[in-house]
Amino acid sequence: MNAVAAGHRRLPVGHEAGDRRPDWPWRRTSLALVASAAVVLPFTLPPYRLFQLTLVLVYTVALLGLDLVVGRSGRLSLGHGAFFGVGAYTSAVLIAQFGVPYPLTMPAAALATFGLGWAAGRPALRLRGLYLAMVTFAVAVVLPPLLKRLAGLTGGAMGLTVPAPEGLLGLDDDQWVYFLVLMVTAAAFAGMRGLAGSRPGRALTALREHPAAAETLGIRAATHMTAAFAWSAMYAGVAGALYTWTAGFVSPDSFTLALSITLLAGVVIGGLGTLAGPVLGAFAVLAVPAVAQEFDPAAPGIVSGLLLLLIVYVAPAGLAGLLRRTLWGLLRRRA
Amino acid sequence: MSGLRVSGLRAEYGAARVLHGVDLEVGEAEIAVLTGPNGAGKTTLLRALSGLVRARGTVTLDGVRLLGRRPEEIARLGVWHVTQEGGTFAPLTVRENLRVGARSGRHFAADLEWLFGYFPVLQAHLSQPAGTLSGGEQRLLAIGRALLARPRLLLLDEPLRGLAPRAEGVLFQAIHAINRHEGTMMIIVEHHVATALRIAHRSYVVESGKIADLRTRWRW
Amino acid sequence: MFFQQLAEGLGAGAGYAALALALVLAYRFTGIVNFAQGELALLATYVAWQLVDSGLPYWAALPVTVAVAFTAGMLTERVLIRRVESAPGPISPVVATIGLYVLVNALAALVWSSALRAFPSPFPDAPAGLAALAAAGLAGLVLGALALVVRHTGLGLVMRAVAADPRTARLSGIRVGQVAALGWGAASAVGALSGVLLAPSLFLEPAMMTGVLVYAFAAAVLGGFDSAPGAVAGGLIVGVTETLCGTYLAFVGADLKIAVPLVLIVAVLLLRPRGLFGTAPVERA
Repeated sequence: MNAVAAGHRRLPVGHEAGDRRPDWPWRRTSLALVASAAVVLPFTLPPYRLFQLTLVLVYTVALLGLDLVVGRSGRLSLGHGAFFGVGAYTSAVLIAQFGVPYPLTMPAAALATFGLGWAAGRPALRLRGLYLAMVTFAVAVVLPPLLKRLAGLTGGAMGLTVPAPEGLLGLDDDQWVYFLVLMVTAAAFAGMRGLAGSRPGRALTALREHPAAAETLGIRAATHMTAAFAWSAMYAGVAGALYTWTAGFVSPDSFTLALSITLLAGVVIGGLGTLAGPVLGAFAVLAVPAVAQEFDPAAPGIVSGLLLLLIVYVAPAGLAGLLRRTLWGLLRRRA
Repeated sequence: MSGLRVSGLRAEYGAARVLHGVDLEVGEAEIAVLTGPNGAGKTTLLRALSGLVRARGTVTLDGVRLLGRRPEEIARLGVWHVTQEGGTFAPLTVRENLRVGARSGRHFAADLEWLFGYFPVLQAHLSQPAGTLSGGEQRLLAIGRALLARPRLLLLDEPLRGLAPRAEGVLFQAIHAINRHEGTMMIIVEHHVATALRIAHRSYVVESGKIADLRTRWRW
Repeated sequence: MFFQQLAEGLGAGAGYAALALALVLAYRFTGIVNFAQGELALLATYVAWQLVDSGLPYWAALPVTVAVAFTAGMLTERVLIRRVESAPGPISPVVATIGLYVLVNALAALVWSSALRAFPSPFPDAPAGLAALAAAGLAGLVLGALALVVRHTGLGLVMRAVAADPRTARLSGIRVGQVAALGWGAASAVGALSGVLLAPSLFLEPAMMTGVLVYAFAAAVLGGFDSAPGAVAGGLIVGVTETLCGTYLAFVGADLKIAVPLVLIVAVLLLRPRGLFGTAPVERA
């Protein structure tokens, strides 16, 4: 209780959020199942469904990155939509205006957003508190008008159309893009797993749990947090580049504050601090508004808002936690 | 049924149990002193009594149950807890501090006069923000705030900690005088055992979350 | 020309100041930055528009609006914030306010559609510059009255005590929960003023307060985030800076003015994190 008085407040994660199960059962089996489904699906799904599935993977990469800030560091970012947008535009501008081959645009997007993340995180993260949320909120609001202003480069309000990467190895264009995105997603997961066990990863956990104690042990909060935030922004930027390859079109209105809020909702709904959370969250934030849209243009917002509140109050461990709990409940009943 | 009766009080922080069934009693107008090693649970005991820590067992003040009520309700029933680390509102002036929680505004001027009888130092600093007072003065202010509410029971957590020797004497005399003149019951946690026992009617030794020893002495 | 701009900057600044003050009040009572503050103001402004549209005179609609906003703010604290505050993980209250932001915004679009609506000015007959100054004066009057209440009444004293140290307040028998709800009500009422003051020039639509929230963040950060006078001064500074930058810096222009508060926030965080009047940088979460 003194911890609260000392002022580090964060979303509950894992055990604290009511997650009482040690682990997901049958780790390997489920992983193998997911992997084989991921390989088979592109050959069975109609093109539009495949496009949606690719988008889920793109969002997954962004959410993985965002979870590094929200789930693992206990801070809020409302700017990941903007980093996503900067990544998307970096790729689109390089391809459409400068004729750079598309594979090279991903490292460029990564570099640009890493730098931007550092620049936005540095001033806010030197201080404790919600400054990060406010700065990133402002960044998200400023990006669309800025993109419109730089019309010579970005095509202004009309946006930019980008030719799709050509399919190789006998695959269709959209299948090829799907597998590219799938590979990057797998690499992103591997990177995040590596980080969780590494020294910086453990430092983040220590800072989240006991900031004061971690500081006295010589863990420099600002430096670690800023690095984590920059990596996280980079994930969003990479996802943005993938988005450009997938969608073939970027415009300022695709990367508004609404996208940032959607991403935050995704990471909270999916379940913070888990590896399954980003996938589930990406599914949720892409599927739910699409379904709600059928009823009324305002419905997606109402549903998303309610869902976000519901998760915060009823199921703080998110979908990942719910799923795990349900499954263990079933197992136990059978035993 | 008058006075404070505590029986079977248990409390824990998460998995760590801190109090294992404490029984104690403070009679009408008595001062009880709690002593014992660091970490024995003295502070937790006070927190449980004032509602800051959730606890189980039975606690009654003049026959009214206290456990399960919120701190603000317990305070309204006449139990005032002056914690180690605070008890004052730093940005508010001394006068404003004393005004918060004091009895109705009509008596405030008279109440202030009454309080200055015990704590004359505060008079000089009335319009100064509490945060600018010295540590000892802040302690006096915190206790003075509590006194203005005319509590039935005053819980004082290490009131002498960090005070200069002279200030210690002044504060203890004041506490003693208040108890004698106003009949306020008190539970005082104190490491200066010798000093504290001079004014105690009862003393309890708390060890690992239990009462290890009880001594009662007659009123002087 | 310059004075015209200055007056308009002050007028806009009064609106930003009101929302910034609302943020600061909510923050001081619960330690939470309320991202839905602007949307609560939006809701109140729509209520005002509806009242005026159905024939109520402006000056009669205003108090009703403020009362609605007060209630909405209080309910938000009691229903939403209260519940998550005691939960183990409290950036969740902030996430809850973001959920509320999305919800209220969508509800406004559902009820009143996304159309731009003209909102009456309190001083329809005055020339633009003068009207802006009068609006600023009106805001000053209301904020001054609020300051008087907080400084010189028993209720104000209790509110300041809770803001200073909730635990000590609780141990002094103050029902902190009720006072915090009252604080959020007051915050929301002040915020409503921001919506009503800015709507005549911005036009009323569901996205209206999003930009204003950014200006209010800048104003509150500039003022120090825990200082009420700081928020007001910050709002005026932000309003004037933004208007002058939009007029005199060709690159900024009308559509990039929204970058001005971002630059201000970053500059304050780098150069003077405690702001102009603040006591310490924001600590929570």
